[in-house]
Amino acid sequence: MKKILELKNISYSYFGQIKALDKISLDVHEGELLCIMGQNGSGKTTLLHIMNGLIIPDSGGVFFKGKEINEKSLRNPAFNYEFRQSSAYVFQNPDIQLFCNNVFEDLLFAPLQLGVSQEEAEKRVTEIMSFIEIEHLKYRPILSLSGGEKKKVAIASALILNPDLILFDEPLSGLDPKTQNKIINLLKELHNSGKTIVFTTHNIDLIKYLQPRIAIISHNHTIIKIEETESIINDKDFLSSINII
Amino acid sequence: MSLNPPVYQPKLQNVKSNKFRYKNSISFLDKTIKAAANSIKTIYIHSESTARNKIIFKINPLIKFFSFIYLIVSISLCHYISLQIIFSIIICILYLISDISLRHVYKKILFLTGVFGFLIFMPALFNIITPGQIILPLFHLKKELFWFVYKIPQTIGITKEGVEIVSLLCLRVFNSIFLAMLYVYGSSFSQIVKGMKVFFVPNTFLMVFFLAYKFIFILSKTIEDLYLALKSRLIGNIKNKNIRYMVSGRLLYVFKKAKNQYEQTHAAMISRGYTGNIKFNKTKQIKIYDLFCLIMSIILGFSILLIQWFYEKNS
Repeated sequence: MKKILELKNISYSYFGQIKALDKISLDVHEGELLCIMGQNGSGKTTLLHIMNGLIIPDSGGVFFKGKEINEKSLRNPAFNYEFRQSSAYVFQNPDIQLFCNNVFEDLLFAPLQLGVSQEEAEKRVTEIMSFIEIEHLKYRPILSLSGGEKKKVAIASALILNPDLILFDEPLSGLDPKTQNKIINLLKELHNSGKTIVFTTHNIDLIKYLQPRIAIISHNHTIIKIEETESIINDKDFLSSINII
Repeated sequence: MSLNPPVYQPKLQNVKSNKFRYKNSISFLDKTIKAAANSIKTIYIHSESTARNKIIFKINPLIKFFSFIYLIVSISLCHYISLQIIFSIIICILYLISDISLRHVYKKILFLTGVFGFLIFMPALFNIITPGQIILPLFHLKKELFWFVYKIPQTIGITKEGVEIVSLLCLRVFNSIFLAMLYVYGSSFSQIVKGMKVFFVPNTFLMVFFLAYKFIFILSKTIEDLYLALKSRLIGNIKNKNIRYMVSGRLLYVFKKAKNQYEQTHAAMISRGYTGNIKFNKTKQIKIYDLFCLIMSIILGFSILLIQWFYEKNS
């Protein structure tokens, strides 16, 4: 399968002092479902930030469809447009991601920034709201939404550009069981439709259900294992050693 | 370490002796924080949802903002009490037409008018500032006093001219706030921001303004949560001084948290295609209804100023 994202030997530290990632190499293939697991503070979110070009690694290279993601390439409008259109990121905390006043304006934000016409953008918003089943929230202020509703809107805001690669940071955190089920089914549906999905989680039931390929980051901020779900979840001692169970 | 540490017994005597002070300090903080957080949330929710069905909400934001500024300028230029009262009546009618309940706003309007209208201009009531016919004498000094370039008259009191000036200024402030509240309650925040484009305010500034607005809600929520967490751990004898110390200690934490949240929001914006030049969704095209509102507000402001001109010419 073709690689959509390649991480080659990347390292990153905050303020040049606090190590977050150390010599990480990882390939993500088109249409793949990949889960990144690791204990708190291991660098999962930082890795997703790097995959989305929000931070640039101190060393090593990140390649999206063969083109390197760095400050220079992201300054190139054509590449930036292509990359932002093809890659979406759902943050762990939807309060961060949803910064406009109401749901409709928030969903319009990304298409408008990428030069989609107002009419086309509004049409897409209507379609995505119908897909995620949030039509009734159209003019609701973001502040008045529940946690589950915010999460759905955050997912809709990421999906609006029909990206090939979707990054989810802890997609089930802070949600009630019913909303969790809906999000899990949505992930499954997106994957079945051919999207490449990378997500982080601590939820063992989620990975049992979705059966992704799993990359484990250790407390030393390096990838210590990349394997299929079965071999990881059957190794109880290993899961215990990384604080998953 | 023991898993069953002894239960701490507070010194109930101290609690009893300081009961009054403790209760007061907590309830004061309680009320202040709760009231501030509630007001912020109410304004946000109200302006973002309930106004949507009102007639005033449907006016084009550019027309609405221009009309608002035009009427505020007209109010400022009007220097007759009678005309200011006419303005008040007209704004009141606009509230009724817009179906915005005065019950929600009258406390805010009166409070702001009291502070910015009456308290600030109150010294002008007295003959020390505004000489004239005293209608209510208050103090009698032994003799007139002179200090620097000021003259303090023997009888200090409220003058007729002072009452007129303060009434006019109060009415101006009242009308401006009355109209501003109508604008705020009849528009969503995004409409207000879009309206500023009528004065060619750059999009980047508008986005900063936009995010700052959101920041207020995040900050108010964070402060409220922090305070409730603090309150849940407070037992017994808490002095005002200690509470102030604890609250001030949390301030730095709140700002650090806010900074972190802002950085994350910026990352979320970049992730969704923001490149430094913000693009807002287009405002709806100007319709006949919008033009009608614009013409009506121009006629209103102009006719009041015209009446004033006739007044001045004849007197």
